Amino acid sequence: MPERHRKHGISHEHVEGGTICVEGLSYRYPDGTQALEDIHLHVMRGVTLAVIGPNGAGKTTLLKVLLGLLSGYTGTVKIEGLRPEQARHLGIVTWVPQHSHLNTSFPITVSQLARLGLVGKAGILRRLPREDLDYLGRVMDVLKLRQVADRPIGRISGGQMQRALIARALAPRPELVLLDEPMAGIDAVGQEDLRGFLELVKAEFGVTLVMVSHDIRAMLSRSQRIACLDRTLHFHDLPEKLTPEVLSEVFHVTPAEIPFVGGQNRGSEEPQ
Amino acid sequence: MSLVAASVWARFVDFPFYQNALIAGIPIAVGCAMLSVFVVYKRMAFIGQGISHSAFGAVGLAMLLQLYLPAMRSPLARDALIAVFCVGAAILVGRLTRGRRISEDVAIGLCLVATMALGVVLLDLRTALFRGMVSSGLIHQADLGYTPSFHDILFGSILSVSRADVWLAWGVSATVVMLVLAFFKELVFFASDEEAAEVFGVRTAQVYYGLLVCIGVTVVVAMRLVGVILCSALLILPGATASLWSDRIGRVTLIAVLFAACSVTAGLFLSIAFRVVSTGPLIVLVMSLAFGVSYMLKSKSKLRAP
Repeated sequence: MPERHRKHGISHEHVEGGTICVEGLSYRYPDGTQALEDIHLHVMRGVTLAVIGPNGAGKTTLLKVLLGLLSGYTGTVKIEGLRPEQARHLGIVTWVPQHSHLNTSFPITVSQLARLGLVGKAGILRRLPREDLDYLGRVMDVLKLRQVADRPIGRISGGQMQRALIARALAPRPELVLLDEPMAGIDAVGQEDLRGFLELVKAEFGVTLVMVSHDIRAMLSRSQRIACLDRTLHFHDLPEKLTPEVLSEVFHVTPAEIPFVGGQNRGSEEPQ
Repeated sequence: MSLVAASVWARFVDFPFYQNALIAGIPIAVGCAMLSVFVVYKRMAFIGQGISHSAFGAVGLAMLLQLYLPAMRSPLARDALIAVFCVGAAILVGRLTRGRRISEDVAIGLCLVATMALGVVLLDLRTALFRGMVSSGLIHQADLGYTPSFHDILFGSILSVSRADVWLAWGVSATVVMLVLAFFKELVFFASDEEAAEVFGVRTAQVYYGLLVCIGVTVVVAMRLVGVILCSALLILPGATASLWSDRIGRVTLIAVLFAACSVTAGLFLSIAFRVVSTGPLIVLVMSLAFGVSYMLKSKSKLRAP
């Protein structure tokens, strides 16, 4: 990892606080609605964090702030010690969109799609550097995309499409990858596959993953940290410590309606 | 049959204006074809229509100003004014579509009809003023040189292009082709997934306005070929047809360019064969037929239309 820091020109004193360092973040939409309120969030390098919350809880807003796409928030937000938009322009933080929202009729192949991740970094009129392409080749291997690399994106499965989007996000060699509703529209088997691939990616490339979802069930297994967001952060800890009481408060339901959380019965969350 | 072909070829060789039409028409169509790929996939067809129709207002204004400003009487000055007008319309359309005050199609529809109406009113006004000035001896028809007719403005006049027009067509098209090739990666990212392009460091607003300005400038030369009404055909049909034949962006672009060049050639020779002077509309007809045939051949295949 030190090699990567030299690449981005980050000194070690900056990264002491971890990959994400958010202090007192609040954001109000132009219409005056409070979207995020006084959020404190520290994420250490290499951790997988799942942020869960109901629709309208500010999950997308939080992602946009972390990507440096929103200005006008209060509080401080640092990614690897940098301002988010700086981190985004350097390819230190990247993003995997909800794959079901994508227009798959555009005529590009899987490898072309993955290479688009390097466009902002390469600059105009430049060829993509050899080392970046070699790295992307390794990403494609780990994600098992080699055999579909030359296929148009309209002719691959949903799971392959999602892996192609993950490959695109990994192409600029980021420290942090944000995933928007990664489990949406995927069946239980597909979700388990995806978790396996994300673990492989982490082992191989040492990235920090932050997943955002409204689907508590899909997020619980194999996440190292869970945060519950409903305008403000209600909980941020190990998944085992998450109680039905916290969830009922965040999701506005009674504890009886969420019987699958808590350390003791996590094994039975997925009926198989 | 070969007799007909021989006589068509003989007339092409005998009349320089046919040759000029071909060497001006091909680069114009190729420039439009490069843009059309992104117009089609980014669903900007109506935007292209809005920008090209604004050229009509510009022509009306230029022809009115000609009466009073001798400087406006050269074709180059007229083209410059049309270019300014079209680029202005492109930027205005961009502002309207990016803002959320009114919906995109309403904004473009308004631009389109307003500039068309303006063009007609200005041209009528010009005709009335011109008659008055001629009868009082202030101006002579000869002072103004070639003035395009209503039909020329609306449907093009490729058979009467000058040497200067040929150079302008090549200059504009070469610039557009080079810009598209230079920013190809950015354009592909922008057209396939604008939101992600922004996240991955593409300056999408600049790409969008760049594309609109390219359309605006191309319209200035494209209206020579097919007129303001049919400009949008050149900005849609090559990309739309090519999208049926391949699902690789590089090949789609190449097919669009070849399709445009072949359609211009076919349209021109058909207009020589049938002694039709509406060459531009004939070219558009050839393109439309080719699209129809492609659609029938390819609609059952796995390729999906954008």
